[in-house]
Amino acid sequence: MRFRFVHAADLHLDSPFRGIAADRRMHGILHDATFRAFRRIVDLCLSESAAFLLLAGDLFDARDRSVRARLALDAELVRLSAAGVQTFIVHGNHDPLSGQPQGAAARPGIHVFGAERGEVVVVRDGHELCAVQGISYPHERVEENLAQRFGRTRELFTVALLHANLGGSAAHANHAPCTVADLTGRGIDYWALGHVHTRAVHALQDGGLAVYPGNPQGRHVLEDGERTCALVDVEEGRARVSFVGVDDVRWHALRLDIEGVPSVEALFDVLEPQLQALSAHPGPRAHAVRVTLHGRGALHRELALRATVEQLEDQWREALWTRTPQVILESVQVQTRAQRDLAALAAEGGWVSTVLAEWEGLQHSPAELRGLWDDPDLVRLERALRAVGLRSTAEASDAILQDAALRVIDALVEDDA
Amino acid sequence: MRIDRIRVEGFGALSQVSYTLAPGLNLLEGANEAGKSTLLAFIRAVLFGFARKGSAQRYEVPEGAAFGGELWLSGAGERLLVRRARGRRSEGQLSLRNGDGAPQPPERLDALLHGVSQRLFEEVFAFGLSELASFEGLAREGSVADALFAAGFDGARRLPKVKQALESASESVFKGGAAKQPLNLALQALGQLRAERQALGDLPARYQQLVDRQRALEDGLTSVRHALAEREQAHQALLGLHHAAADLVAWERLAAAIAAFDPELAHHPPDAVTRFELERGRRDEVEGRLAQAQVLLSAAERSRERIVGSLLEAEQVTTLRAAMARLLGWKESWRTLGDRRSAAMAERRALHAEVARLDDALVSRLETLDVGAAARAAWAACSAELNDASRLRADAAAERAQRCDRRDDLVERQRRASEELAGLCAVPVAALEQRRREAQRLRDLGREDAALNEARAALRRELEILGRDPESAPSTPAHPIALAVPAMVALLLAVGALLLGDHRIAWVCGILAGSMLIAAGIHRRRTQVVFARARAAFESRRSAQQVQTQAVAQRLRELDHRQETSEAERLRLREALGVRDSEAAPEVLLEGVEQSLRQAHRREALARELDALADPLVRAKRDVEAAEARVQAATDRRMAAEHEAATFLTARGLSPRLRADAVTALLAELARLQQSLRAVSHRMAVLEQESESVETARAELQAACAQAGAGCADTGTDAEALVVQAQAMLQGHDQAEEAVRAEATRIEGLESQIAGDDAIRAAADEALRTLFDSVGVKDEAQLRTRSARAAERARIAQQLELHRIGIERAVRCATEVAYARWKDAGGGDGVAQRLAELEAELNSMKTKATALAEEKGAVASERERLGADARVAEIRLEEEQLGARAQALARTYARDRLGLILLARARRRYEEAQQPALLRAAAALFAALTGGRYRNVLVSAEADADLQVVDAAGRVVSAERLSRGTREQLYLAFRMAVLEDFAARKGPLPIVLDDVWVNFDPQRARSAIAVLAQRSRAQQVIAFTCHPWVRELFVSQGAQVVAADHAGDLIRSSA
Repeated sequence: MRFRFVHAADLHLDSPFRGIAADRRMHGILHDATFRAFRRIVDLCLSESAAFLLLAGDLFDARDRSVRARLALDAELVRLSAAGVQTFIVHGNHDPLSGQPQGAAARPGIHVFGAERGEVVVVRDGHELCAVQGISYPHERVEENLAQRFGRTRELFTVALLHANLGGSAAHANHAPCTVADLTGRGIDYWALGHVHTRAVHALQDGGLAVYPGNPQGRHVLEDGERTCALVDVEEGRARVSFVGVDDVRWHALRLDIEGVPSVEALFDVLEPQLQALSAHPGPRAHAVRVTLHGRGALHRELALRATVEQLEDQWREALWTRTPQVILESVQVQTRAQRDLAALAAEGGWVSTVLAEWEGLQHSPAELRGLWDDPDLVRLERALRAVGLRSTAEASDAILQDAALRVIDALVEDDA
Repeated sequence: MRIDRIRVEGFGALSQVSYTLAPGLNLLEGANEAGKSTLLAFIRAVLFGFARKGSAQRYEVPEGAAFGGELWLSGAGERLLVRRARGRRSEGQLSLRNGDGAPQPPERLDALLHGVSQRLFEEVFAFGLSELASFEGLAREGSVADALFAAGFDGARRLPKVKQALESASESVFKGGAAKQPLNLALQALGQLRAERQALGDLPARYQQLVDRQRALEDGLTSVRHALAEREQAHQALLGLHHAAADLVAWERLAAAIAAFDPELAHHPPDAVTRFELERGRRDEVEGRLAQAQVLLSAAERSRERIVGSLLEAEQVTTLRAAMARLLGWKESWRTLGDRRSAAMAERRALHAEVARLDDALVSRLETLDVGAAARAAWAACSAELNDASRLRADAAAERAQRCDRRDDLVERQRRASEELAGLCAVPVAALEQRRREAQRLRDLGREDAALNEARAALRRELEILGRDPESAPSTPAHPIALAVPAMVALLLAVGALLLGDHRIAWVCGILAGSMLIAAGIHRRRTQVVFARARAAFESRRSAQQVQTQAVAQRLRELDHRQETSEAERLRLREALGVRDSEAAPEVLLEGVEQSLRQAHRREALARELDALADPLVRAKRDVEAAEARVQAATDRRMAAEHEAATFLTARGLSPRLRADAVTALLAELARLQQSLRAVSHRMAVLEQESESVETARAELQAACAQAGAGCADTGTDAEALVVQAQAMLQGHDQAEEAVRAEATRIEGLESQIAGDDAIRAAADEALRTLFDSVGVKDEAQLRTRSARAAERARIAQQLELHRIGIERAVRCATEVAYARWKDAGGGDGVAQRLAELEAELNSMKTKATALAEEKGAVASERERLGADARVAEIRLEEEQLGARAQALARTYARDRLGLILLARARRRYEEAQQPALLRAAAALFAALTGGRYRNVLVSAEADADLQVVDAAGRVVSAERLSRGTREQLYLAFRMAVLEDFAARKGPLPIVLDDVWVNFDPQRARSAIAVLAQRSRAQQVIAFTCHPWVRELFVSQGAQVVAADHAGDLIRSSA
């Protein structure tokens, strides 16, 4: 029997965007983005006459304690239910069962799986369409390989709904870790996965598919490009997956080479073609961009000043906001280099070559590099960061050391003028 | 690498000077402002580029003059010419060539310089006192150890500044404690936001509690409202019974009354009497209408017969209509006939008058005159021929005049050229050009002669200078008589003492005499050696001078020979030109020859012009004759045309003197008048025919009227009156016919009405019978009695229904049910009592429901507020923003702190690996410079440690306590140590020093120069000085001394 369903994950409703120094005017767009993306998913279910919707965990962040997120989720699912579309939900590490308020009433047409594996048979017009199995996270940390609890129980197309880290993606916490081999041979036709925010399709040897639909709304620059959910067509027991863009604000990482650019003011002219290219994306309502300045050029010295970059950010943020569609500037990152040849400096000898040698030595000695953070000033910094839950600077030790070395070398060999 | 030669084209005050340098020790000597510092800057500029525009070190010369120059470098077995000149960029245009002159890439220079940077070169390899003192400046600014780096390592000079910049940059971002630095502020704000979020608590749990509470309240409220609704329903039922009590009593009474009537009366039609009366009235009305219609029918039939008797016969009507139609056909014609006839006659008179104005004679024969289109076309052709002939003649006359002018112009030019030619010189051009070449050669010989005379004078002066003896031969050294005489005296004293027997004195004197003699011998020998060397040098210089004298004399002889040859040629040329006066200036002669040449060229040009004029003149004369012939032909043609025109006019009785255009107009006018006159005559003939036709029609109509019985006495022959009479007769006939048709229609209508009324009367009779049958009566009386009884029963039933409505409106149920309940409740009293009880119960339940609803509203409002509250989202967004900013600042802080750590680690690495060797070398050099006064240098790795020296006695002295000269010797020692180190690691480069020893005492200066001389064995040393005593010291070390005087470019060397 032919049917289709929609698979989404990691909605993170009402979770904030990371790193945007937005002013009040932009808050509306940023607050609504996750909600609007989810609304598009529900619209997709209705317009494509989907039999059901699968939500594979992390519907919201429990630590956000957002009532709006729960209400919006409820409202949209009621809309689906009213149209006869069922919803199947598992909770993930960000919205575990333990973080849910007690006493929430069950809604018709909405099935939330518990901490034990459950199975529901989807029936339409008196015919059994498929079986949906699922497990929710009881609490935030789940180190068990939950995939092993799944398995076909009847001769129906079987879907497994799970929030898990398939293949140990380093970019995400290693919750419910599993491998492709763990998923193979369990008689599951479609593994509806969540947790990894980048969409992916893994074809299993037993003919099944394991699919990450991606998160529907990127919330920082590392989640750039189109964000999607999966629209799955099932015919004769085979699933065919297509991804549909639903993001409301799209992230872009723009890079700008400063070579040959005569002035800071002229940088915007160089940026303009990339900004115009954003209009070619018809889906999203707005764009969020990080502009990284790189390359070697005469502007390097000016851009090395924090005040210059902050002023540039203010000017660009205002200019981008008034464009159509609106563009929100996350930040301007400076990765420029002075016009100098490090190899030549090393060959020339002298003090700079000694600094270069020291840098190289540290690059090849991780332990020694880690030891640099025993410096009392850095210890004090790290303590202050930890107190407010911020990441340690030591996580980017290589990059920071490179910045430090290049800055020192620039300063040492800077022209006297 | 070394510098072999310096050539300055233009640089500051230096212009077009060059210096040749030796591979080892060189000294450029010059007074103050001789350009030594400029030369130091020049070497730096050629190797590394001109300083930026506007800089004092640029030494740019004014635009237009050459800027820059060349350095000849050699090293690694090759030579390189480095040239730098003014270019588009501020550093100038660099070009490199090898020893063969082939262009070389810029990398060749970098290779020769061992990749050394401009900064390092200026700090360490080519420095003056100011750069030397920079060590001292650094030592004052920061630690001595830092300054040591500055002295020895490229880039380390900026170390103190860099450290300071990193320290202040990191402190501007973050500090321990509650500081106001941006990172501190961001972290504090972040903490506050976090606390605020914590204070908000677990909002979803709170929201869920509210949901649960709201749900419980809704359930309670629903049950209360349900009970309330039941009570209210019972209350409403009882209240209805209470309000319907009076109706219920009346209803009970009337129901009993109505039961006494015949039940069939309920079905008696209430309008039976009305229907009976209506039917009977309708029958009576039909009867009346039938009688009236019979009377009207008889009257109509009589009227129709009367009218039919007054109608005309059909044939009479036809004849009358035809005659009248014919006369009316001519109606417009007969009415306007008179006016049109008068108008035509007036028009003919006007045309006659118009023709008479042109010519009286033409009035009678105009209609027969030939002025038609053919005649006018013939006249147009005749007139055109006349015009063409006239125009042709005028054109031919104009052309004849133009050709006559051209012929006269050519004759005049021929005359002027002939006159000018007769006045010009007749010598040929070729001969005059030969004379001009000879005159030019004569002038050039005069100039060469003057140059030869100057060269000869210069050579004679040089010969004279060489002929002088510049220095005398060294004199023979004097005998050391001053020692020989005392020696002889001592010897004599020794002999005397021996003779006197005093052996002790004799021995003393003898030894003394012997010593003196040996000393004298040694002195003489050394003097002879010095003399021999001086003599050899003198001889060498004298032989070189002789060779130079011979060369100058040879060149002088060659110049004399060239002058003699020149004089012979001059004489030959004067003779050829025929100039006897030897004083005549060659320029004047040349001018005369060139003037004659210009005249000869003009004569040739005039001859060519006369030849060119001959042919055009012949052609011009022929053209004039042809024009004359064309004028005559045109005149003949015009006369023929005039004759033809006269013939045309005479034939039509017109004057042949009329102008052609006037004739054309007259012919057109006559043709128009002739056509108009013919049209008027035609119209008058048509009018006569119309008049006859009208008369015929009128007679026919008159006859028809008479036949129809009308008298014609009143009308006579007036057509108008006749037509009116005929029309009246026909109209009367038509009206009578219409009246007959109307009467027939009326009769038909009356007959139809009588038939309809008969049918209605029958229907009314049938209806009355049916009515009686339906109510079961036989006549009108019975009908009226039964109807009255039925009306009484209906009145009572209506009252009963009113009470029923009242009851059912009050209790909202069937009257019978309400009556039963009422009876059950005990009638009016029972109902009132139960009603009071229920009202008390209801009030209590309403109070409870209101309380529940209010609480539910409050809970719903709180829940709605929580659902719409975006504060949590705002806090989270602000947290993310602040977190990102704090993270970026933390990264900046960590970067700067790591920069400082990196510098410290590199510093330790340097100190551990390289400093000891460098320090040892510097200590050895410092000991050599100070003649062993100090023997060691101490530098601690501690950042704030002082630079110390150890003297020969082992005392440790702070460098700050040393004299300025000694400190500068210390810094020089460090630099020399670095130079040695660099040369050992990469290769030698030239060392350029600009008077760095001015604060040294002579002994230390000598030591310093000795160190440099020793260093010059490995790498080229170029020193600048303005002090003669320094020059002597350098000379004593075998330096090549070069006069650095930009006024000239003489090079002097001293062995």
